[in-house]
Amino acid sequence: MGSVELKNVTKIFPPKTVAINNVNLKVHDGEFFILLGPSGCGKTTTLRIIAGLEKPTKGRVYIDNEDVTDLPPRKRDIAMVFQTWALYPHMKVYDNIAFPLKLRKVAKDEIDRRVKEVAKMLQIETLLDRYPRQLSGGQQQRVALARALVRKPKVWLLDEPLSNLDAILRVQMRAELKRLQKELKITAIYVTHDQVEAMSMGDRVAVLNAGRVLQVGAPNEVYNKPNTLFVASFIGSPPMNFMRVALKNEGGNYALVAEGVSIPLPTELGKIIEEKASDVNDLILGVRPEHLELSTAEDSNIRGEVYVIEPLGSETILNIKVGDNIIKARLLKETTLSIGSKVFLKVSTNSIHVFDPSTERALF
Amino acid sequence: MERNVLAYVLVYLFLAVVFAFFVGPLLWLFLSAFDPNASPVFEIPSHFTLDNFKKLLVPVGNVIPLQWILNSLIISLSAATIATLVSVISAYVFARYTFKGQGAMLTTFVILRLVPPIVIALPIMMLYNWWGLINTYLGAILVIAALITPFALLIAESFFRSLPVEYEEAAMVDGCSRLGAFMRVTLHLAIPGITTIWLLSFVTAWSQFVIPLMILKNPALMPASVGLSYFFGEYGRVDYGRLSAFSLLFSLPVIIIFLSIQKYLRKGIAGLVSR
Repeated sequence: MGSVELKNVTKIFPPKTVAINNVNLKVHDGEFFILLGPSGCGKTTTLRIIAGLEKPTKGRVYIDNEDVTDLPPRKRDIAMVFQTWALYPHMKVYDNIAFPLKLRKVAKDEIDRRVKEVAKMLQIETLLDRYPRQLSGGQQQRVALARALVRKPKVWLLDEPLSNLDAILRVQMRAELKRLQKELKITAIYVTHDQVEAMSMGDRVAVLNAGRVLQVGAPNEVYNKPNTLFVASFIGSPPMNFMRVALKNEGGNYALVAEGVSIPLPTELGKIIEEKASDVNDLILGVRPEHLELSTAEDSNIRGEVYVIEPLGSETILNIKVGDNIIKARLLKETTLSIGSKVFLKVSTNSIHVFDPSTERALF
Repeated sequence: MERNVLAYVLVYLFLAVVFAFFVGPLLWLFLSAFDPNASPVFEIPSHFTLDNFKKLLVPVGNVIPLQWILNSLIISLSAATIATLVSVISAYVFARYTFKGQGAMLTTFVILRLVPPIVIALPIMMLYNWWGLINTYLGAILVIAALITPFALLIAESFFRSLPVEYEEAAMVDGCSRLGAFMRVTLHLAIPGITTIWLLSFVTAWSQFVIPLMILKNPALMPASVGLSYFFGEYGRVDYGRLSAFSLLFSLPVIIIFLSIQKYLRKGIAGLVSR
């Protein structure tokens, strides 16, 4: 049980740094919700406001429909895993995990039972007698998770808990965290700047930038239908390609054109763009590298020459010079192309994105 | 090669001189304390004796000299403890909260620290006269504690800033109030720092001379630093053996306290440096 809602929340740090600006979010019960954005976008501030560690300058915070804006952290029934894990250095692992229960005056044998239960779940039973400084990073991280889970809180807040782990451990813990959250059916709000983490773990993702929520949706939705230039550029690896193009209308036949680019559009789509764009001669075309495929000269709608080839084993990243732009195409096969050779590419109109440079918003 | 050797010799010669400069007087003090015929001359005693220490039980005027050591302990322990308590609590507020005039207040403390105590002697004497605090332990303790506090506060403030705030926040999320988080977590982590502050306060209080000289006129209440002057008799006659024995006892508490808490002290100073 634990839904979280933020209504019109703004946080201004004195003198006038706006950390988050009129944020509205609703996190459903049992959901794995991700706050994603670059550093300084306000995602951690948002999490700290939910935790009660910061007071919003404006707006209200609700947990399970109860207004908790004025409640201190201890009265919100939340648990938090910090980026640095913040294990109490003067307590052994056992006491670290037992600490939240002790504060709630849970009976001793009950504490013992629950500490051992959660330690078993996280495979740290053998570490209970050690001090945090005697543990590796991965072990400390598990202890921090255990401390946050032992109380069975309504909401689990995680502030980049994997960022201090090495790459292999991070991938492993990612899967484990997700399994744990589903098993315990606990509402989790997870802050990260890593879009891969966000895509792979979240039920829904909120993308933040400069203190504002730009888009909220399932990972696929945010990936396939980015509503702004920022979201489009932030999600996906390698990132989306952008090119300046113009919309041409020749007797009802629409096409996006630029040097090396000529993508015919269905009339409907052309009309929508014409209607919404502030200047049809200045648009931004977005194409994901994985949506570009090699084709014949006749079928192609983008053409250029090979700039760099990056073979990655399972795939090949082709850097192609189109007009003044270098774009990337992701191929699942090895290529016989070499640097400087002409290359013809095709992209389906279902996979293109068009943005208005003045508003930075998607036009469809 | 030869130049190297010469350089070594010169460096070590220099070090030896510096060492002798600091250790010589202490060695003289130590030897004289056990020398039945101690004199200003540096010499190895013909035999070692505790007679000089026994003489400290014989009253000088009408006060037994050991009373002065006891007075020093009472005054320094109390003043250091008060200064530490006050500075730790206020330093926490300075380190963890932001409020108007914060920087100005800290600067004021630095300035207060730079003012020589003698400057405030007259106003203090006048106030103490009204309040009847002249010739009381409390009077001396309060002034000394007040003199040490700004310095202790500055050290404590920088120490608290070096402690990550996440520990406290984790404690608050886990179920502590702000005060609870301070008591259960921050205070534990601050033990090395607090110990350092207390020790530095104690040493400062222990060597105070001007303030107790002003406030404590009654020889029975004087601390050892002031009492020491009573060993210089009329016409410059001095019992060097007794003076040395007393001086040795005077240095002992500071050394004992330092040795017993040096484990914390090293951590504390490391904490201060790491800021």
